[in-house]
Formats: sequence, structure tokens, C-alpha cells
Amino acid sequence: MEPNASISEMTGNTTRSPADLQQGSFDSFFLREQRGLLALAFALTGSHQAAEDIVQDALIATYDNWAIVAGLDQPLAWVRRVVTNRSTSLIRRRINDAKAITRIALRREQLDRGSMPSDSAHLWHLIRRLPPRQAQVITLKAVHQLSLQEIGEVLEISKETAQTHLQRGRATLTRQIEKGRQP
Amino acid sequence: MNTLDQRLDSAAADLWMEVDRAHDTVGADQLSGSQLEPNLAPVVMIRRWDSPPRPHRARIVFAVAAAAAIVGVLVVAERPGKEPVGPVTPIVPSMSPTTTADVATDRDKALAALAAEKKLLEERAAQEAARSGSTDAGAEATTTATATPSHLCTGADLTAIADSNFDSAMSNTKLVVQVTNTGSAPCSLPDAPPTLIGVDDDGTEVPLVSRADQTYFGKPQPLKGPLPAGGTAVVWIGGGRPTVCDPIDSIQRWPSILLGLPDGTTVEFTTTFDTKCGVSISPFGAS
Repeated sequence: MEPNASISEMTGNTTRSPADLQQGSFDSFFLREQRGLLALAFALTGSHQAAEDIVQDALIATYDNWAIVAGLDQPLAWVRRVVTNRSTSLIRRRINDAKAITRIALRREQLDRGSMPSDSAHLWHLIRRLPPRQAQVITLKAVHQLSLQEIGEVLEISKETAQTHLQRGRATLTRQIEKGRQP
Repeated sequence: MNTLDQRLDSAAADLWMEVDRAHDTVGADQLSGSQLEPNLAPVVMIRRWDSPPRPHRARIVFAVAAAAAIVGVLVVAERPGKEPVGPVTPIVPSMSPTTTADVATDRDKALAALAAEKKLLEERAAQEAARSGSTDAGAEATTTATATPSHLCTGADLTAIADSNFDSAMSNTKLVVQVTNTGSAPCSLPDAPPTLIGVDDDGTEVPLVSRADQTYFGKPQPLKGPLPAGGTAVVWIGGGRPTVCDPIDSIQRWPSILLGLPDGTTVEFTTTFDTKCGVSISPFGAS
């Protein structure tokens, strides 16, 4: 992948008809989408291992219900919703977990961060600390370049609600970045 | 483009590269397109806390990424049962994807196929329009052809109420929970049993199910199609025998219990049902 490739090129984000998805069986859907789902889960959790677990579980749910999911208008939107819901649930469970387990998880996250430049890693860290809906909207916008309409379809919220979450999240991020610059 | 947009774009690009980097390094040989035979859906039966071993079925135990990096093996164990199970040749895709080059190649192929598909669809649409004109019959046919099936039920579609009376037999207890589609459209309940989560006073969520398939009392009659708006279904929850768990005189009750759906959303209900000795849960069925 070229480092300066555009996001849409990197994501391979294209509009696919239901007919296309129905013709392709679950395996082709899996091959096509699992990378993007991993990116989404990783963005929301900050952990590769957690992302893999979440995407595997989401794809199991998809596989179990493939006859129905494949017939949906937007199968990918449904699977993305599963991933965002489960990523949020994971974060919520972590908060509720015992301190020792949290420490272990955080240590694992630190190991997971890998080689991402610190500026970007910090920005994702800030995004993950936003209220869940704001984090989800900003992540879907940034990672998958989705429109507000598409984000609304993934999260089952209106376009206007998505816009509100986006604006609030961006405002918070801007404030926090400015705050970080102050000596 | 302002500074935040630039930073978000940059962070997104770094994230994609990080995902490729991380998943190139572990078990990248398990998911090339050529390994997936046409028409052979991959089996993705992996570890699930809510899916205990089921008799008469092959059980696939999947060694996940970290273990796969070391061992790289897949263990397929067949449990003994009265009904022999046929040979199982699963393809278990790792969550570690192809290399970056493979992904790029796959994407190029997919994009080319999509472009061809789009062109074909446009041609067909043009032919259809030319053939049917703007007649009502043509419009009706199109509407029928594009009708979409019901969506999968989510927590937002459903409410749940637990029966206050518990059935019992041979010291086993049974709770019936009725779910209602409060949405405005039909929705489909999953075939697999929901998960069951106890929520304590602190909001901590504790997985409860020790057996997800059926209860001591069996399971309800299968649903016949999607749940219409206003329609109801039930799920049976079984409680273990109190004589087989210690201490015998203790109980475990929860301020609320959640039914977990495949998309990660939940439906809450309250009950005084005792879960101390383990619980089992059935799939959704007809009420």
C-alpha cells in the first residue's frame, strides 16, 4: 500500500448492490470486508487482539444469520453496527472489570499500539475517550469515509443525529488538541 | 480542510497501515482467496462462552492468532454421539488477513468486477425501462422485485417481560420470557439462542449461560418467519438443580437480566429467578 494513497483507496470503499452481495457468498463477503471491519474495531478499541475477537464474533453472528443478512439492503451496514456495538460493549465491560484485569488489558493495549506515529496514536486515544456515539461517528467518518446518511444507517440513527454527534465530537477533540498544545 | 480534518485523515491512514502491519505479521497464510473454494462457506465456529459442546455435532476448536503464530494448527475434535457425524473439512479463516499486496490485488479484482457488474446493471435497467415504459404494471413488477426482507431484530425493536410464575420438575426450574416486537416493522429473531447476562447493583455484567441450546424442559416451538410488529415470541430459561450446587441454601438473583442479541444490543427484563446453580437457555420460539 502506498503511504500516500487516499483513504478511499486504502479502504476499498465502494457501494455494492444487494444483488452483488447475494451472489457472492459469505466467504467472498468475508474476504472483502474483514479488513475494514478490523480497522473499525481497532480504531474503537485500540487493541488488535480485541479487534480480532470482536470481528470474529461479529462474523459468527453474520454467518449464523447469513440468509437474512445477505438479503438486507445494506448487509455491510449491519455488520459494521455489530462491530461498533460490540466495541462499545467491550469498553463498557472493561470499565466495570476489576482493577487488576483492567491493568492487564491496558498493558496489552500498550503492547498492541505498535508502530503507529505518536500523533496519530494520541488522536485515536482521544477519540476513544469521547462518548461512545461520538467516537463511533467520528471513526466511521474517518476510517471508512462514510457520509452522514451512511453513518446513520450503520448506527440506526438519523442523519441529523449523526451530524450532532459529529459536531460535538469534533468540538471536543479540537478543544483537547488545543489544550495539549498549551505549555 | 482545517487542521482537525487533516489530522483525522492522517490518523486514519496510519491506522490502516497499522492494521495491515499487525495482521501481516501473524498467520497471514490462512486467508488467501485461492484457499477458499467456491461455494464452500467458511466455518467460523470459534470459541464462544455461550456455546457449550453440543452432542451429535463436530466441535471445532480454533487456535486464535497468537497461538496460530506459534503452532499454526487447527484442532478439529469430533465429540462422540449416537448419531455419527460426517467428515468435516472446515476452512477456518484467521482474522489475520492477506498481505498488503494480496489485499490490494483482491481489491483491484473486486473493483473491476464491481465496475463490470455496475455496467451490466445499468444496461439491464436501460433495457427494462425501454421494454416496460412507464406502465403501472412495470412499476408494480419493479416494486415487487425490490422488496426487502425484514431486518434482524435489535434491542431497540424488542421489549421483554418475564413470567412471574416458574414451572418446575425434578427440582429443575423454568422461566418463560416473552419478547414483543415494539417496532413498526417486522423483524427476524436469530436462530441461535440469545446470550444471558446478569447485571448486578454496580452495573457489572456477568455472563450466565452454561448451556445454550435447550433447557431441561426442551425448547419452544420454532418461529414461523419474522416477528411482525406487535408480535410476541418466547425464550425459555432453565435453572439448575439446587441439590447439585453449593451452598445449597444460597440464591443468586439479579436486579436485571439482559438478553444479548447477535448485533451486541440487549433487551432487559427483571425477575426473581434464581441462577445460582447455572442456567440454560433455548432459542427464541413461538409463544
